[in-house]
Amino acid sequence: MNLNTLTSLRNVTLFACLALGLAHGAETKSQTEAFPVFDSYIKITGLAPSISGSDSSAARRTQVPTNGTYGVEAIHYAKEIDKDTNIEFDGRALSGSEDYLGVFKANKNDVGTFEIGYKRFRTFYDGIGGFFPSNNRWMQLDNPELHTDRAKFWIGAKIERPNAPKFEFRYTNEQRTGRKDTTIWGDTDFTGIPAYYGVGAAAKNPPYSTARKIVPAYIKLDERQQNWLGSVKHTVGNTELEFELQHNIAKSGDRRIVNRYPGELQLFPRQSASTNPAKIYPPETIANAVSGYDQQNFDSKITSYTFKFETKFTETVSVYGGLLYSDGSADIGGDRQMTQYMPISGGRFVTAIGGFVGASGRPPYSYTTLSGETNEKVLAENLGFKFQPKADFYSTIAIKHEQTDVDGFNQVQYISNSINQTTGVITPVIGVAANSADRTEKSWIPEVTFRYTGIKSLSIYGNADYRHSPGTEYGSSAGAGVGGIIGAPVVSDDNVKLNHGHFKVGAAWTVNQMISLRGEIFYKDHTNGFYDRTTVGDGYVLGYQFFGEKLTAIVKPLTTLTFTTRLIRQTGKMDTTVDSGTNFQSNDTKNYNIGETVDWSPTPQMFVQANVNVVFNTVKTAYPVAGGLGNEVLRNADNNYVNGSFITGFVVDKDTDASLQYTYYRADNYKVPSPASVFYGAGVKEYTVTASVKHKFNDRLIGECKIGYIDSKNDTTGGNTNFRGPLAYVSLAYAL
Amino acid sequence: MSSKRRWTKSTIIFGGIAIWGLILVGCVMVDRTVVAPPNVAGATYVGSKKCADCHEDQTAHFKGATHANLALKDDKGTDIGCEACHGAGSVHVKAGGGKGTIVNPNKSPETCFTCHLDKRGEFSLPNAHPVLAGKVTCGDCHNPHEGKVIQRTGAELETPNETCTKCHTSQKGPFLFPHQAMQEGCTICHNPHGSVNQKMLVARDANLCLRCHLEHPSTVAGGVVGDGKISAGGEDHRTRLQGGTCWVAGCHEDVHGSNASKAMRY
Repeated sequence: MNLNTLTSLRNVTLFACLALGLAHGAETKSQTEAFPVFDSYIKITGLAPSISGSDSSAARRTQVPTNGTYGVEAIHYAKEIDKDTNIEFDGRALSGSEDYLGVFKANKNDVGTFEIGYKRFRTFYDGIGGFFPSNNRWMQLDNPELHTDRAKFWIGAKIERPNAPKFEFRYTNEQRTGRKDTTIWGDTDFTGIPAYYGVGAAAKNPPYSTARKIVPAYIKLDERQQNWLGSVKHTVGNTELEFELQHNIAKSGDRRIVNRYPGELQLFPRQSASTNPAKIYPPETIANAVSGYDQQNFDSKITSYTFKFETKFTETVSVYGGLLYSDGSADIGGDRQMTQYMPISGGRFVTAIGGFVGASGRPPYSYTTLSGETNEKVLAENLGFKFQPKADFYSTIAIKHEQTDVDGFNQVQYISNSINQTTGVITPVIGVAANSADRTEKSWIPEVTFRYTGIKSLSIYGNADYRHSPGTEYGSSAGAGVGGIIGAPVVSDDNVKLNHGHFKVGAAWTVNQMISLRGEIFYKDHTNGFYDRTTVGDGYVLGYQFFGEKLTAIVKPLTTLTFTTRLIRQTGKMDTTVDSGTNFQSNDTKNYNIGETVDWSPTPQMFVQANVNVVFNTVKTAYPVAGGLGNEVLRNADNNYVNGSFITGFVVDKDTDASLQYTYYRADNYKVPSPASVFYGAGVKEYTVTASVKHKFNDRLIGECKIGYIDSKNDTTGGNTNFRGPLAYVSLAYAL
Repeated sequence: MSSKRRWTKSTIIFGGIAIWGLILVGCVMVDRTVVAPPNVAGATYVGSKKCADCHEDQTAHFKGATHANLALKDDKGTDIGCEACHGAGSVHVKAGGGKGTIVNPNKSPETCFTCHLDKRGEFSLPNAHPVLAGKVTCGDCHNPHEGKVIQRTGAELETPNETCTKCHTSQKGPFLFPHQAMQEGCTICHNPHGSVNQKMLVARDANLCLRCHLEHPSTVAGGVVGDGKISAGGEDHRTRLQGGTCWVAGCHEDVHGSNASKAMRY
């Protein structure tokens, strides 16, 4: 034992003895109440991080902006106007996280309620792309700190008079704006993979391409959804009746900003293919940069009518059912404008929206929708019976029929350009393509459920439903092809048969006061068949079967100690059959989830809660059956992880509580990558430590302080999104 | 000679004991109770019938709810279905209702996590709906009081994807050429509770798509099993997949559906 260890041992032992001695010396307990719950209060907060490393990734993970957040975390005001009437106001205003709330509610017994509110909050994202380890290439946006704001305004009222119909009216207006990340990444040739051109290039080039799609992109959101709802509920005799009318207007104009081959421009004239020996191409000369946006617009209006009833014939038999009809249409538009760079003689370059096409090249697909709409009608009915012949047996039998008709069309104008690279003369190539689609589906879905509680402390239950859904599907799609010329439409005309079965049986058994056990087995069997109506034998059939179990055990060896264990296992296989070909297993998925929580209250003044989740999850498709270089391109998708937390809360003195918390997360799925692909497996190691103290200054003022530390390391991004540092939180709650 | 202070195993062990001692100091000096969420300090069970006195809307159709399958009773045989999630109700009843006297799972997911341990783990992942941050609640997607907890399935009138599209407007459609996977439901590709992968994807790479689109290599002329081909849509995608996933720029970009390209290229 070295000197340092001895010194440390001495110090902490003395400290521990002092603490324990104080504990032993405390002879009297002070009687006190728990922290008061204020009827009306205001809570002021400040939260500040001090992060080293990637600020944007820290903001995304913690959902705390880099510069912190402060303001009114909560304000609550409640008042009884008279014995039947009360009002409530809840609010929040946090600057930095731009988190706002204002809700006013009024309630009068036997009359109804009124509510009006607005809330808004910000979600943080990081605008990162991919990491390619061969040359440690890391791509992220110039300003990777992205965020979106989701806002909602609502106003509603309920009229609830005794023995009278109950009415509800509600209007909501939701918006989402801002910028968020996307995984639809662009291409780059800056991957460190050599590209030779000239005589003998084939022998020198590696057996895979130079381009990897790791260039970050983002989406600029512009979404709005308004909903008007009116409903009435009433009970006539033994029948509950409900009618609801909804009108929904949704608008979306999300725009994805795309960058492909940034910083690249081909040489002009290109090196001759007969150059001997082959020369290596600098990565910046392999492709021509493309940048622009892709936007899909919707402006949809849907009106739906829902009627439901439930009649209680006897104490043991009820019948219920309903009818839903919705009629919607949408103006659809698309706008994709891609600007491509092209070198011309004299070391110059030109740009053009729509890009450039040669005799054999395809354009980067720039188009504008000239006109277009989709229509959707849904008619659904269901009817069911509820049986409870004995107090301990409950069952339902129901059937649903649903008919869906969707059709639509549009006209799209494509633009690309042909170019004479010697003169720089650009000639637009413009073409108009028509698209149309028509889909019908008629589903029948019977369902049976049961629950039996006739055995003491045991509940057995089950559920089965089967969706048989025949229909037709037609689609005709045309677009710009070689040379930018509109190609012949690709037409599909299928009979569709969907058969989806879901089955579940479970039991909950309270063995005794100490032990409760729950188990459930589930099975899912789907077949989705698309059979060509014009060519007998052609088609596509996807089948899959998933099977699994959920087991939960709750064990209480002491009234103050509880162990909860949960095991979930799920395995699934999928297969595809193309035309009359061979059935082929396309997927083999395995998932095991093991969870444990321990709740312990060694004394009434202290609790300890610990939990851990261990997950083994793998999705297997082409690997290893593909063989050859196919196995270098794609491996199994492993999604394993371990995470957990430990928290203890305890009374410090009559006015002070404290807690300590530790969290841990580890995913180790980032394997040694192959230069033939991009590997995405999550490889993260992360922990947080938090200490908090809550103190009652007086009967109207409570303060809380938290100090935390987070450390996050990410292998998948090559460590470029690592971050670490403390966060501090302080709040004061004052009773109004 | 100077000895540099260092954290050693002994420091941690005995330091831990010291902290424990401090905790005990507090614990023996006062008798105030702290409880792990989602419990109510000092409360006892009153039975679900008591809850129905004031909360008829929530209790009237609970018999047909998924959680009624648990048929929870206390040791005297009293139905405690409501209190299993809302905490023991005696304090709430005595106070005539009100905040702080009952657990409201719509404010905090801790109640749900007491049984759904796996969901606590998933919501703690870096890619999850912000339930732990309080921006979304379990009740936004699940109704524990009536019908199936996974809403709009089976013979229920509404369709399952409405649970997601009520917030995710741009995925709502209808698209001219929808992705067939949308008929299977959003959860075929996303785990709404959380994932190790970006966008809550159940797989981050091309395996996600190949589950349904991987074909026998013979759909490509001359193809045989093990020849290195990754066949989908009647074409060998091996070379293309070198670049990244199926849904990268220039490939199948509009994964939820497209109004211009049946192959969802753009």
